[in-house]
Amino acid sequence: MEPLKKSPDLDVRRMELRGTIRLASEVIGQYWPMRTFVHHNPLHSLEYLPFDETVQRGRQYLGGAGYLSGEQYRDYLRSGRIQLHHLDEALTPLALRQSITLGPCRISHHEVLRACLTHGLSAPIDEPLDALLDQGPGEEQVETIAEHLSLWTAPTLQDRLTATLQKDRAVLGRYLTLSGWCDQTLGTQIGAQINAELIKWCEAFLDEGHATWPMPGREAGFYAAWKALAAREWSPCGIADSRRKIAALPDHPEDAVLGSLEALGIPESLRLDYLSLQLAALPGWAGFIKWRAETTGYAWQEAYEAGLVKFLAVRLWYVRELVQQTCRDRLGIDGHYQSVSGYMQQRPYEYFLRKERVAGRLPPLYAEQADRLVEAGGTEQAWSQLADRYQAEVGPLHDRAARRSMARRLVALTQALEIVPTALLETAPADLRQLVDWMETFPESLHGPIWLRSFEASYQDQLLGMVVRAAAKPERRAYEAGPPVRPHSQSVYCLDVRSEPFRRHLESTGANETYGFAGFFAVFIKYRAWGKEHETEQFPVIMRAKNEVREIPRSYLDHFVSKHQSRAKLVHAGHTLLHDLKENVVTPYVMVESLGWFYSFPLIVKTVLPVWYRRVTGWLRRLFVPPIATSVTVDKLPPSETEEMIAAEQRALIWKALRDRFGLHGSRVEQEFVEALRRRALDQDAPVEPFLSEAARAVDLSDEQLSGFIEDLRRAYRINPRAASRQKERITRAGFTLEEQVVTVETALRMMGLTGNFARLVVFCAHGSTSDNNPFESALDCGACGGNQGNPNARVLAAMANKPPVRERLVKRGIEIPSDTHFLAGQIDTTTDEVTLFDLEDVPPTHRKDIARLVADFREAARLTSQERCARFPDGNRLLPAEQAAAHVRERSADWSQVRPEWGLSGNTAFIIGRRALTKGLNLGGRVFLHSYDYREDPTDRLLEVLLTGPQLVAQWINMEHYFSTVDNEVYGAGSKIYHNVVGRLGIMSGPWSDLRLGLAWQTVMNGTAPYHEPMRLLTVVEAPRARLDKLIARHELLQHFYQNEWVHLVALEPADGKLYRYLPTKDWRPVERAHSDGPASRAERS
Amino acid sequence: MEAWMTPWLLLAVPFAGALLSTFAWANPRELKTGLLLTTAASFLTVIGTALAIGRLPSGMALLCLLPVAAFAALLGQPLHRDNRQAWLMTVLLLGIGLATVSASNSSRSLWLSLLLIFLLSLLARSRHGSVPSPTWGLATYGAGAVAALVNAFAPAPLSAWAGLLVSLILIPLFPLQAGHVACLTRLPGSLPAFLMLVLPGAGVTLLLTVLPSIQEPARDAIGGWALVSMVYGSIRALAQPRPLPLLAHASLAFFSIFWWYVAVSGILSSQAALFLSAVGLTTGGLYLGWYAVRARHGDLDLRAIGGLVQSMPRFAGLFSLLALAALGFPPFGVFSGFMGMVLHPDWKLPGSFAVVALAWLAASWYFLDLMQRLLFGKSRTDLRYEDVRETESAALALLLVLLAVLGVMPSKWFDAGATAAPVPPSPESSAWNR
Repeated sequence: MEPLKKSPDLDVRRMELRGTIRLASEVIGQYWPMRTFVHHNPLHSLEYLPFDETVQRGRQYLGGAGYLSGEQYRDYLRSGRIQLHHLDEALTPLALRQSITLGPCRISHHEVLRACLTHGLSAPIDEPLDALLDQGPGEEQVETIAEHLSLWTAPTLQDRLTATLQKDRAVLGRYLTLSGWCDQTLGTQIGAQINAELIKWCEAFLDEGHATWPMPGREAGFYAAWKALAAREWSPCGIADSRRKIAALPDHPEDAVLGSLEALGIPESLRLDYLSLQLAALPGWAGFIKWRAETTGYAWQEAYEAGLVKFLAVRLWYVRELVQQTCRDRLGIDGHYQSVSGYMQQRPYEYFLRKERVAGRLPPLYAEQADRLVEAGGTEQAWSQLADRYQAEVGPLHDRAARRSMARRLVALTQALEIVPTALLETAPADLRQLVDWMETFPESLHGPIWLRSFEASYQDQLLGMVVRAAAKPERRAYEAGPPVRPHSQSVYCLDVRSEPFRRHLESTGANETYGFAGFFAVFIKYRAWGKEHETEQFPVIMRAKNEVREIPRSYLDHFVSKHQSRAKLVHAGHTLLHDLKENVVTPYVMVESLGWFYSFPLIVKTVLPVWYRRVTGWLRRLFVPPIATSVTVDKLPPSETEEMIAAEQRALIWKALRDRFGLHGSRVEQEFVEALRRRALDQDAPVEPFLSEAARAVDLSDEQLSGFIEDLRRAYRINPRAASRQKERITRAGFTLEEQVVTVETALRMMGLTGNFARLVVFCAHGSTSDNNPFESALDCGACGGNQGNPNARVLAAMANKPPVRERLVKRGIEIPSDTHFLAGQIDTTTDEVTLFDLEDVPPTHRKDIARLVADFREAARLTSQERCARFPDGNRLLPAEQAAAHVRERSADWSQVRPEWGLSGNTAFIIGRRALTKGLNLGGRVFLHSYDYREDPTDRLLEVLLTGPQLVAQWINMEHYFSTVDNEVYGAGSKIYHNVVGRLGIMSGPWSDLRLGLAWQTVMNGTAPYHEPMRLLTVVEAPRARLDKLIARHELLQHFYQNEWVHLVALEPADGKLYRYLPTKDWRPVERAHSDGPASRAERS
Repeated sequence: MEAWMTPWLLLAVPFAGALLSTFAWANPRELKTGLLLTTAASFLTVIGTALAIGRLPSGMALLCLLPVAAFAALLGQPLHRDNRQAWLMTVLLLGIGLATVSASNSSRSLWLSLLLIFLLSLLARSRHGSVPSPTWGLATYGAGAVAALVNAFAPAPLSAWAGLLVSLILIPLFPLQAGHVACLTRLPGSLPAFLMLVLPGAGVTLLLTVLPSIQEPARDAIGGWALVSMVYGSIRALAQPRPLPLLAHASLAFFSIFWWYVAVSGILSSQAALFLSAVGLTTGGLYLGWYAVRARHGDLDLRAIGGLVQSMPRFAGLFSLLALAALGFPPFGVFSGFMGMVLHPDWKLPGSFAVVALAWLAASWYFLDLMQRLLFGKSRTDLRYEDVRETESAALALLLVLLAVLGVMPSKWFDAGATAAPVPPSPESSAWNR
């Protein structure tokens, strides 16, 4: 490739290109690493477009379906999940006021459209030209009607050719790449070849410690590393002279992209679409690169830089070379947009027949002739003659097949409308043609939106009916009305749909109040668990945190810490040793022979007795490394302590350096000498203290050695003012100031509507999950906590709320927490339904009875929840006795072959923001996100604003992830778990070689071949005045996109009249009229 | 009963059955039933003849297989008016095939000549619209018919060479495969499935008489030629996007394995005959399997159909078993025939076996690929699917049973047709009996 000449506008062009690529990448979603799986809308970047339009874009670029198949919707219709009157309502805007007389009946356009939906009449059936199967029942009728339609003919080859040319020339470059054109015209596999190459390079470059032998040269970035290594490959993808060509590529990836686009001749107007197509060819890897490039401070990205420009520079090089080579060798033209377009225009017959041949649509004898023409390099005239012969000999067969196909559809229509098919013979052919035209102008591709609206309406009708029954006008708050009735406990759960059954069952066990709240409890923290080297980000991925929290051993366990640490280190070393032995080139041969047998025991036991295995290994682990009680660091350190902490760390480093460099240790090194060294290292300009020189001489260090050592301390050991300042900044990020704590607790309590009548025990209950051999484990954890377990947030909030100074300040802000109220942190395991309570050491002795009662209630609620869940599992699907159900969920959690350890999040449909009174006692089937909110506590709408822009977004992402994974699991989902392999510690592939799989696994959203998750868009129900909602929608573009582009349905429960109102895309509100609850809304009922 | 009457009797029964069945020409169901009964009667005639003459006629196993194969080929055909002619021709070919196999050495060539002329006429009628009849196929079978006559009337060694040529056309080797490919890809209905057994069967019976006259240098040349043919067949099979040419070239590769073995070892053992019959049956079975799809959807390219495992599960099960049988899975006949050949005590594996192994590797690729493309992947939503009907599945199951029987039965059942080796067996050798 010729390097681009440096010109003044080159920088501008590069900048423009970067902007174009950014826009082009809208069509692919970000891909978060699997360890912090984040549910998100795979078409999130296109939410500024209406839902239906975005779905079409997804189909054009990614090839993904945006709706379930007609057959699956028909199953819902048959089972009653879709009501016919909702289908009629959804069809009304499309129906014309026309009708046709069919025998004795009058058939309206609306009826034909409905029959198309309910009986699948629009799906075109390809009639074989020469079927050799004997005629089944009814076939004679079809033949008779086909004869009645004898004037009809199928489109001729010339018609098809013209239509194909028109279409293909229009889509070239926009929806069809040049490599795709070669594949479909010449039968090449260029797209697959390039994908395989890119997968190879991405897998190696983006690896995050999984590979035993990492790719060399990654420091130089993706493009440069590829260039260095690919130039050593022998003819990759069969590209001739590849070494020279790669070596001649420009250094800047932007220049390489521009060069390739110019070589391919992609017009400026098509570049955006063309680049989108290139990125959409591997949406997984490209999505991960997009995420890495847009994430600040990601260590792997900082070490090995990758970006979409670099990705495209590599990809487009393969494209241009392979397209050029193929077009020259096969067609004798340049692999250039204009040449390809010109070829289609100048040699239409050759192009059309080649394409038909490759698609397998030519009958065998004509396919053979086409092959001969290809081999002989036939002229356009020869191709044209072949086309004429084909039309003359096969055309009549096509006509016959087309008539049969139409007749079949008309017969099916009469059956759907319950009319005798002979009526067709009494109807004029023109009218029959009109009927077929109606069916043809309503193809399957238009059915999706109608079905979806009907499906949603049917469900929403039932859910809103349930809600409206409970939605009496808000009564006065209990604690305002009179002497408060104090509940036994109050507990706050994540708004997650999985909390709903547990809350319902806990409330049924006694006077336990429950609240719903975003699972991070408004505590934005980075958290480092005791003994861990890395921090986790415990907040929604769309937000940032400035506070850090650490888990530390409780102070009374100081003597125990070193023992715990040394044993933990031993275990870690053992693991590392085993890993290294397994990954080494030579040792596995010995390992298999010598230690392989020992592995069979755990393998068998964990397969046969998973729960027992987990218990025994847990017991052994605790025996060797006993668990240690911990607390979390909530308060900030005072400045003096910070200084002292840094100084202590620096002194320890100097001790180590003296030992490493000069072998000095023990009594030979005095404290004063170390301190003098530290001061000197930190202050370069200060005069050398005489004491320092003397002390150095005392330990046999010369002046040169001393100055060299001090320089080393500054550079190698980072004991310098800059590093100290950074360290100080890091330490001061740890913990919260008192004011921050007050604000955090107040915000949380007000948002959840818990501002009075506090119980003696208030539990902030986070959630996490336990499963084995499950790369999607973090998808089961708390999405609001960045795909992590939420217990750190709960512990921090409880610790803050228990502090007397915080409570004192809260009183001034109008929240009076009784002195006997104790806040407690807990976590529910959503796979076993068991609740773990934290920091019980801090509970006052006066609350022991309360705790005992709460634990008993938790246990009962867990048993009932497990029982309810067991009825949903496909392999159980029956109501087990409570004890058996509890044992069953524990077994699923421990079973390493279990593909559905939990199956709780699937099925989500709605988000209710309002008082618990709206939903208390309703069986919502674990399908509804519940966030407590009392609009009376929010006069400024600040809290509602947060709820709509934060938790609602999280719910919508979860909902859309499930939606798209269900409607097209191959494209938007991750496919079957059976074939999954973890790659690079960042994601999963299907088999050994694939794109990174997006979305959720087949088993998560499907039950056999039918959807388990019922894919519909989120319905948000807010109990708040409409005027307030209007104000917030006007303020936030995000909300406008959600509601006006129909990504989310919004319904307001107007407190003034207790009625429901639906927000329309036209920004108007329409009363919800016909809400009733006589149908099955919950999963339990439908199963 | 005299032995010379056997071929005439075995010819007469199918011809008479066919003649009687034509009275039901207007009713395909009755016609098919009549022809099926005819094949059953032929089978009984074979058994009865053997009992009547008091000894097993030469190629008894093959004689029994032919009516069963014809029965399966007819049974697997869906009822359709357009298939009637093919059914009738199948039964007539059964008669000629039985006569050829059971004929004495002196008259066999004449029967073969008749068989090839019959095929010539069928191929000549196979022109479609502007697409002419398969010229090379016609030429090959024409040459075969002439060579058969030469074999009958010319003196040695010319007759032996002519006989060898006929065998090479009936059990094709590159470049004499044009007739074989044309038969499989051009002839309608049940004919190709049946021809896959009858032609190699007729070829092997002729080869029995010819092989002793072929000297070692000529056999070496055939061995080398067979290797080339094997590679050619495998490569062509790998490159086919349509099932029928794929099957034709795959069978060419497998027949080449047979030729290679016969040429290199100089033995036409019972195991080799078993192998050949099993290859013919599996090819016929796969053809019938594909025909079930073709009858429903037309002659499609493999790129235009797939995912049948969900829409036609019964078909998928049977077809995958046949594909596994074709690529040599136990317990089917291809496996046991081949193992019997290579483990024959009178013979040591030569270095050229590596090419055979490669051909087998290629077979495992294209047969599994065929299976994968047809049965798995995304199925088209614009097709109406119907699983194989009872008669179709019964035919495929019958072939599978036959293949399994061939796989487990004692190979000596094929001995009656096996020839003595032209080279003296080694002193240590002993007959291989399972």
